[in-house]
Amino acid sequence: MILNFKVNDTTHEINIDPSMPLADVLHDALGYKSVKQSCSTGICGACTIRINGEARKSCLHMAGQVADSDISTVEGLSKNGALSPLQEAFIENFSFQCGFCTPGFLMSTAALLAENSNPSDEEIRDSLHGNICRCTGYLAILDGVKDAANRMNEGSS
Amino acid sequence: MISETTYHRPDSLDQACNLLSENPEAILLSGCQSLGLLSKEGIVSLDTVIDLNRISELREISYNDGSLHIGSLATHRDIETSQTVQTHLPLLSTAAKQIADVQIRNAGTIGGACAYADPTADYPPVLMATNATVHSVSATDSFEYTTRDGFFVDYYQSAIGPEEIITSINIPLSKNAGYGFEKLAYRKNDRAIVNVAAILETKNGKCTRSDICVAGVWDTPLIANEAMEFLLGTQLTDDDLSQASAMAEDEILVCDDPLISIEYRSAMVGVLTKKALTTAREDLP
Repeated sequence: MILNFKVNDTTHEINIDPSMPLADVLHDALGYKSVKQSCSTGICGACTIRINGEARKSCLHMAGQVADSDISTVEGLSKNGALSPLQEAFIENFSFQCGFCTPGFLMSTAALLAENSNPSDEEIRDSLHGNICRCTGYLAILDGVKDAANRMNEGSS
Repeated sequence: MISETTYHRPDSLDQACNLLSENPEAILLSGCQSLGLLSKEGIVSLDTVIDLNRISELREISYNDGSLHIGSLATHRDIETSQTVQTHLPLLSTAAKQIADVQIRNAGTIGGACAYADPTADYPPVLMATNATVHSVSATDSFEYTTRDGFFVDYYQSAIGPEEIITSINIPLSKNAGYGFEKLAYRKNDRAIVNVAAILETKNGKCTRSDICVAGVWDTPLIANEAMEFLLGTQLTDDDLSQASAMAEDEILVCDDPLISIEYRSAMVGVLTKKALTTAREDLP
């Protein structure tokens, strides 16, 4: 079936089995290598992307389900080669070690901060509940999210 | 090579019903959060899929004339954040907020959850305690199921027939009721080991309505009939709530689980029922 996927404002038209998991389409067929699968069962959150702005697990969506939706991945965070404040905050707060889960955390955080520019610790924890990190112990991630919120608020004021 | 899935994306409910009538083996797709797992496990085969997501009328949430109408495609996140639900039945928002995580709540739908009939899910005890009805249509007919009367048939089995599409869940409301929901899980927002929904009403200091539904412990959610009957006419003192909880603990069937003993789970039925009843009493207007 020929489907259109709009990823980070670029539209791709491909012929693909519509029941294929979205994560496979993005990573394998379209080359968005930030979309990592770890558990592939909707638990770990490594494959988190945004669909129409919402954080979603791309391993648990069929390709056909999101055709024509607005999809965003980590590749869309940086602009003209410059990292986003969110990415810079994660780097400067050491909000990752091995980095495998990081794209998912970045996309969950991006969705949170788009909705809530000044989240409380509890709101951050709730929003990141569906993302698992086996390296950091999460505290550095919390610091990164709070720093990202500050940077984005400064940037917009 | 496995052949490609035949994938339909109907724009209207009529189209969807006709497609399903022509392809009774087709899989209905809404949020894909449980279906995705079932297909990966090889439990369902995706030869033909009917994607319901373009039927936007099925996502509506509204309040009319004392009852809450939740479209079957309303996501858990819609229900959690809906001003209408928070105003008229915060109990349902509370239950929705305890499902999995934000990503899954953004996708999973209440209609899907009802059809799937997961015995550890969070909506079923709320729907049964509130006496909600589930509405569905086929190409030729429409159906209404009372959740309390056999909608949740068995382990992962609802009463929905193969040619039916769930359209809405309707919940009768009362302005005089107090509501409580309690959940015990391995970790926050995990599947329930036990969850309980309780609703109370009083008139002149005496209990005139009590509804208690316990889930997570048996193949279907169960109504605590004896405990409910006992509470009617009482003043809902701490002792009354304790006695009702002990009765619920006795009457609710609890199944074996490799990880949790029957004794522990049964004891937790009593503990959570007491907590849910206490919250419901405090919530009385």
